[in-house]
Amino acid sequence: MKFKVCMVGQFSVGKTSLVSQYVSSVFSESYLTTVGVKIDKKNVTVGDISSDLLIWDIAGGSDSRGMIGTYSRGSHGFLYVIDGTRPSTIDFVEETIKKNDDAKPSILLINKADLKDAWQLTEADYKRIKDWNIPILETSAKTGNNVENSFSDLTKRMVGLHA
Amino acid sequence: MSGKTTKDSPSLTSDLSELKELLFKKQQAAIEQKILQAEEEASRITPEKIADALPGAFDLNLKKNPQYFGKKLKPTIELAMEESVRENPGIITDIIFPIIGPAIRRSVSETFRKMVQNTNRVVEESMSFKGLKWRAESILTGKSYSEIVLLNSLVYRVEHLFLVHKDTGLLIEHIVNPNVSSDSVSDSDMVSSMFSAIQDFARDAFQEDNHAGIRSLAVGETTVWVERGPHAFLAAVIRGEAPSSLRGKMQLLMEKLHKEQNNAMRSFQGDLDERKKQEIIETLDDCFEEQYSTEEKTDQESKKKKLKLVQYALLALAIGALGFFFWQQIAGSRANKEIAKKLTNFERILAREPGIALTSSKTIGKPPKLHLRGLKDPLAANALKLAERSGVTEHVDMSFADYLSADMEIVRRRFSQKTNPPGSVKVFVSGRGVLKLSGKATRDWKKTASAAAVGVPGLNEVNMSEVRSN
Repeated sequence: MKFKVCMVGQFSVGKTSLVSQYVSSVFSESYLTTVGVKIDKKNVTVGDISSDLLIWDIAGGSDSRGMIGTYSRGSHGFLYVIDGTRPSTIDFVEETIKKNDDAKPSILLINKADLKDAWQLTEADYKRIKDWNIPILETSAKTGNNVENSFSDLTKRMVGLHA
Repeated sequence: MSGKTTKDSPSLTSDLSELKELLFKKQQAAIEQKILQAEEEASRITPEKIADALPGAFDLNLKKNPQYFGKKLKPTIELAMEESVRENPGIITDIIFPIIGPAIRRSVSETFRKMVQNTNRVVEESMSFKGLKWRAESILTGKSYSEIVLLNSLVYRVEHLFLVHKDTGLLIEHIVNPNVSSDSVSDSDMVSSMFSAIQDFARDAFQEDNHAGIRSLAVGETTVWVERGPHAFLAAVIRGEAPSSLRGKMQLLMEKLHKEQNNAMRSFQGDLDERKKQEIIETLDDCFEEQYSTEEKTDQESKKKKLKLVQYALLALAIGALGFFFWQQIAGSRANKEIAKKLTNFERILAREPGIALTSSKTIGKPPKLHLRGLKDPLAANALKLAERSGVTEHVDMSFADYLSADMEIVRRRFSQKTNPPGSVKVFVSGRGVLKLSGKATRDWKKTASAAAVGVPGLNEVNMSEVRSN
């Protein structure tokens, strides 16, 4: 089976690093902003079902032209990413979730768990993101914490939906 | 009651009505209401009734007066289509996609055929049909004639075919030309997804609508041609320069796929059953083409080439022979001129030579030969040796009669021959018939020389005043 998965989130939340960690087990401190979209592929086995994930890492930035909508057309699942140290990154994801199809499997990743001490999320922020009713995982592209789980969980849900 | 006849029934009817009213007064209103309702019900036109009657009504109208019926339906259908296109053009596009291509192609083909026919009549004597067809294609497409020729005769090969789902960018099927290594593409899933993303990016960058898309890409020697359909696009990776007919073939293929596999492609979610995959592969296989422009024409062309070679060789020989001839002529002419110059020079030398008197001189023939006649003193220079020195020995014919020259140089030689002066005596010509001697000599020699001088023809006087006796 093949699934198209889109990584959505504001710039510098760690989308590319998460993909890089997941696909290549590589993390780099240097930051290179993604232009347009970057696509990676990884094969994942859930139970006895082998699936190819085509991961579309969509550039984070102003979505005035609706490019996220264009690139994420036909997606089977979404990974929304926010940065725990920047609560303002929640707004971007919230806006995107509103435009997207609720029925598609999605997971919210609160990235940069390795910098938890520097997180600035308030109770109100947590409540807000819980109101989206999608599973939440705290991840770290640097340490790899929950990265594998994020993609596996999403894949399980996508397989379940298409089985 | 009396036996009244029916002619008296008006009063009976009235009695009956009265009776009815008395008996059924209450129910009467209800009954009348029910009857009214039933009548209303019967007269109401419901959708169900129309639905049942409509197909039959259509059939009847089509049979009775089809033109009139069509005319009446036309505004409604036009309005409906207009509304549909305005709201969602994709629906109509999907419907007519399989037929629009053939319709356009037929129209173009017909126009093309007429053009070719007309032009063919005009230039039939001077051009081959193929060249004419290409010229017509050049006019139709706006491309230069040389470009059309190139498009129709260059080498190309379709190496990969990617059928990609338009919405998701997921690969539906990828097939590789059997003559090409499958390693030539890194990962077909990634390639198809990136290609889809590039199309989206380009559309956004240039603010084109959703129906626009990249039609071709060039990377090194490879070109990627894309043909789009409503649910998928086909990307063909081509090495070399493919003719435009390949694009037409791709369009046909897409129409066929959308016709036969429309549902499968529309609902594609990343997986297809094996049977559908196989059907798609079989359809795509038709698109694998490779053409080498010399393959079919090798024999004919090589024969033509050989013939041309022979012709060129013969021509070269002829030119060479002609050239040689002319060269010979020119060289010969130059040589003759050279000889003539030498002969003239020789004649001049001879004429100046003391003791030689030329009486006739004639140069004739090619190469020129100088015929000389004259008189020659025995003490004059050897004419043959002079001829040798001048390099004209084989070009002169000389004949001299002997004579005694009065030339003073000859007289001097004559005197010297007769008197044999010693080395210390110099003999000069000092005037006509006069020799002057100087130097040192014995008295005896002086005496002998004086006596001998008397018998020397041409010598009148010998001046020995400057000869000292030793």
